[in-house]
Amino acid sequence: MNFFLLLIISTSLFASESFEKKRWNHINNLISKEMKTINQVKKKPLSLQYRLFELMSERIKLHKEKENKAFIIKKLPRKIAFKKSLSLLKETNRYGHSILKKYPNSRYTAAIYYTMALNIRDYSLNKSEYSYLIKALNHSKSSHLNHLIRTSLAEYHYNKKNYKKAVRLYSKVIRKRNDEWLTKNLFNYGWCLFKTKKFNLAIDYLEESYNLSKAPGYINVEEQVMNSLISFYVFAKDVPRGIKFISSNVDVKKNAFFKFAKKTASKGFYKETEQLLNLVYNEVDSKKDIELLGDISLFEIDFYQQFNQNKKLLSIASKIKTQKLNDYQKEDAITKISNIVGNRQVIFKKNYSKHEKTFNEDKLDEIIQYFSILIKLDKVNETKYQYFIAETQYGVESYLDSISTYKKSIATHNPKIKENDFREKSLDAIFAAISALELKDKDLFNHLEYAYTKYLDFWPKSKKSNDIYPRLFLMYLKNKDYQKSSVVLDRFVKNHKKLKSKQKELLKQKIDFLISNNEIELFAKIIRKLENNFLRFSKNEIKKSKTILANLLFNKYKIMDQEKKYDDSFKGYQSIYFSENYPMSIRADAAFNAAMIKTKSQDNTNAIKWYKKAFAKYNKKEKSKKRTFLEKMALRTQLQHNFLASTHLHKFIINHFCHEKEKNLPLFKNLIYADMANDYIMKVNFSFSHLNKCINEIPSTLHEEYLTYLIDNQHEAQYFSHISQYKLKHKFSDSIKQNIEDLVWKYYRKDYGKQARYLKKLKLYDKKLAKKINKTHFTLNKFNDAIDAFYKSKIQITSKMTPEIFNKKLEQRFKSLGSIVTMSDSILSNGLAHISVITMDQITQLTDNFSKEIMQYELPIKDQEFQKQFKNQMKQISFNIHGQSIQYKKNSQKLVEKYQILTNKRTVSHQAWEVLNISDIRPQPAMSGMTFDLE
Amino acid sequence: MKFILTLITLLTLVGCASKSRPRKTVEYSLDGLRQESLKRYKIKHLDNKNLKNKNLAQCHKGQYNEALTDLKSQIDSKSNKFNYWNQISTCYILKKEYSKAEYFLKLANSFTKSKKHHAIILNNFGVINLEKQNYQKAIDYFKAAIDKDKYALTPKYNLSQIFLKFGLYKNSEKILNELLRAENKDIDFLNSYAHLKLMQKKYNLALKTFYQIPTEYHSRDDIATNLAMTYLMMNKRTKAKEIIDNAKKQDPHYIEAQEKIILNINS
Repeated sequence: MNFFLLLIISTSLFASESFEKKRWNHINNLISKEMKTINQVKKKPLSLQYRLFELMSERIKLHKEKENKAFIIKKLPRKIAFKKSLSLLKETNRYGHSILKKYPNSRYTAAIYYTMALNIRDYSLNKSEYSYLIKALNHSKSSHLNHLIRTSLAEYHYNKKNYKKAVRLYSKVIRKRNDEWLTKNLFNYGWCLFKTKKFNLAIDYLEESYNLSKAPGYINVEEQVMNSLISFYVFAKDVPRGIKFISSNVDVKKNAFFKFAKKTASKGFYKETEQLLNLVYNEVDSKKDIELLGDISLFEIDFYQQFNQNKKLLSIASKIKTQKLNDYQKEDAITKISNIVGNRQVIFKKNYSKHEKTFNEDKLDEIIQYFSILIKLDKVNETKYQYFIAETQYGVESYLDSISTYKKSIATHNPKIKENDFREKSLDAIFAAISALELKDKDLFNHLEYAYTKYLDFWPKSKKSNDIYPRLFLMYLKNKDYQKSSVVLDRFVKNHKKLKSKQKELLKQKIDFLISNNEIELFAKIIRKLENNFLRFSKNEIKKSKTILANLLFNKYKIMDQEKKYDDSFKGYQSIYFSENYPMSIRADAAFNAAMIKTKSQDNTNAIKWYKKAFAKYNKKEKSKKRTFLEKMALRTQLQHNFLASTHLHKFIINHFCHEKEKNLPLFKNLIYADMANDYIMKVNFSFSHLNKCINEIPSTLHEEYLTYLIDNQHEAQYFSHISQYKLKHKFSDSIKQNIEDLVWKYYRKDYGKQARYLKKLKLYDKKLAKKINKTHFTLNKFNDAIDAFYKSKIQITSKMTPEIFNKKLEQRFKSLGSIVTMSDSILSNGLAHISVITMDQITQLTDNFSKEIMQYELPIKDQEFQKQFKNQMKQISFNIHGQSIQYKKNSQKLVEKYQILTNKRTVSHQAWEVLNISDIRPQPAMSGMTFDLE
Repeated sequence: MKFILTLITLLTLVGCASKSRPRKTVEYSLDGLRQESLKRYKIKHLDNKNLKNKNLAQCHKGQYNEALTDLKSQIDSKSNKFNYWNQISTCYILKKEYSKAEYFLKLANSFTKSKKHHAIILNNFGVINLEKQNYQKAIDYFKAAIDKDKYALTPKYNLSQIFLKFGLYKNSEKILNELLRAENKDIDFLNSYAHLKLMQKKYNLALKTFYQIPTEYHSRDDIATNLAMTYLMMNKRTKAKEIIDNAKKQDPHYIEAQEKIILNINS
């Protein structure tokens, strides 16, 4: 873009220069051609010589014109710059003198002198000009040339400040009214009169010159004249004449009045200047004369400043900020207002009494207003002006105001303008102002927060920031703005990587603060960061933090738990578990605690579900630690009678730590005991068969206890199944044998199937005893058969029965009874208590019945004596047999008492059979056992 | 539907009532085991505010759940106390949850500090076995309890009941004499002794013993039944009938026995 612009400019310059050059070359060419043509004439007549002289003079002008441009542009010394034209001048002068020498009084003599005077005039080389002019005047014979020479002479004197001589010459020159330069001559004449203090006359000629300038045929010197006229009116202290002339004669009055005003102002005419300014304002068009209005305002600034019109000055300054100004005007305005406000600042500061702390508030306000104007005019430098305002406020101890202004300065900082960097100075001043003020907490916080934050924004890695980060951090922390404190710390860490220990200390302070304020969520967030190696906290430190967090998190729910608000407590732990904000171990602990709540509320399914959730998140070490706790929990649950929950927990532990076989044994035992307490035989069996892989060996005592349990609770099938499954036959052979024998007697003659089954089992343990029982049982059966046969073989008394036959038959019955008694003896001799009791009962019954049978016999013999004797004999026999029966009964009782045989198989042999035969009134100890309660 | 439910509930209640037996209570002064067992305490004694074992008293009143809940809450302060676990075990015995009773009795066993404690444990194991009708084991426990504490009356009484049940009268008599020497006014000692004498056909002695029992207890089903049987054996049928007529008829076992006696009287 810039290149393009340069190109356009250079092109246009070239174009313009090219034209000028062409014109110059063209003229020079013409001159050269004509001179060449003249010079080709060997004997030149005077006219040609004079023409050649004219051409040479023109050539000087041409070269001088060229050299003048170079002189202006290149700023060369005059002799060097005009070397060519001076050379030409000498050459021309020589030529002119050569003509004059040859033709001292020719018709060209005056013209040659006059031309030589004009040639020399512009170089101001010596006094030759005046001499040439005088010589020209002396030789002049033409009135026209004469007028020209006089005019040049008048100008010469005018330039030499010989005003009186000039006045004389001009007074004649101006008489020639048809000279187009009359306006110029009148102007010069006016000036000469002015210089000779003929002011009114001077004004008259200038006014004439001004008016003639507008007329055709005269050179227009309006502007020059008006400028001079204005001075003349002022000098002549005749401003009203000037106003009147301008009002009557000047077409564009506004400029004239404005110049006039400037002039009057410069001469200290306040009222006249104001009058003229009003005239200007009457003349200007607010839409078209924008630039002029800017100039007027700028002038007014100077004017009112010159006359100490402060209010008007501020007013015009305020106005100017709303005006459209060009760049120069704007710059001028800025300079002017800057100077004004600068001066005012100095004075204001000087006037401030630090002792009394008083100042003129209006003045301060005025200064601020000027700066505001400057800000409006010079937006790019706003930061500077704001800073200056702040400095002014600070200088008079308006600290609060200064702080807010310093903030504005900082806010408007433009990094592109390096010289305008007031940030550090402003922040330092803010710090100083804050310390000077006794601010309340909130205000102090706000200002410090601003200052610290800005400082860190600008110079995040500076040395000073080392102290600022902690201050800002602690400030936020104290104010409980945790988010911001985190941001500050993060920035501190990012920008000062070598200050880890300091940063760690800050974070520790924050943790303490969060803990004391129960800010659990935020604390958890920090721990998550620590887990990601933030500030390289040690594992131990992180662990401690987690413990504290867990305590904080769980405390509320622990209280609920203690208050037995299980649902609420559970929900609390559940929410922690499901929140991804917390560290894994804490979520695991939450699940674990939730599980414990479920255990307590006997929701076993969910309890285990939550223990599983917890264990899924624990690492191996944590799991191991929890084991002890779970064990206690399981035991406690068991001791609190919740056997089912306890077994779930035990199984959970055993399954999870199946490899820890040694440790699992007590748990395994507890598990078995718990299921036994609940009478869950299937569960016990399951544990025995499926969890024994998690212990080294099932202890014998446990087998023994379970077997006892089974037999005591009549779980006979399970009893034998367990023995078989775990091959315990030989380990507990004595007790098993005893239990089988008890079962044999339990079912003896009550359930022949079980009797036979258990006898068969008994055979495996005690073949001899089993054989003996079998044999005795067989004998008992035969014994029973014999008794049945005995009952069936009663003596049938017919009419043919004789005492002999009866005796014979009775003898046979006794024989039969004898053999039965022998059989019973044989059975009793085997020493099997239960069978013996049965045998004795049956023999008692048999003998008792036989004694009654005997008493019933009557023979069909009508002999009364016989009958009497027969009855007595039968009675005696019956008595004897009954006595036998009683003896059997006593023996039975003795046997039972002696061996404390617990049997219900006695009937007639029972000591209280007479009572029992009516009704069983025996006590039922099973229903009335007395507990031993009291120590 | 509602009617059916009500009916089922009633049937259940009736069913339960027919199986359960009324708790035998006696006056404090007539309770020879008052220092060892709350079993025969009257409600007014169980409700005595000065009674140390309140939870146990609750269990004896049938308030098992309340008692056990309260006991569970005391676990932290009493878990190493013998009496704590024995109370729990006793509650479960009374509640007829014998496996649980055994579990806690084993726990109590681990905190025994005296022979008496051992005797208590053994007696209560005996009771559990008694309830399960494992009579031989029950005898063994009671004997072992007596061995541990020869002054303990409860295991002796329990043992005597087994002996009476199985007609081991001499064994029983020896124990009952000991019991009566220790507490000669105990209603159940006297009743057991009278029963023994009845079974030994020593009716007058039986009768004499029955009449050592205050007459207000003669209507108790067990006593009334035995007394009526004694009169029947003495052929004093009217008196026997009168006794049975006055019986409370609360105990199913004895109600059946009484009916048979009445049948015999009327035959």
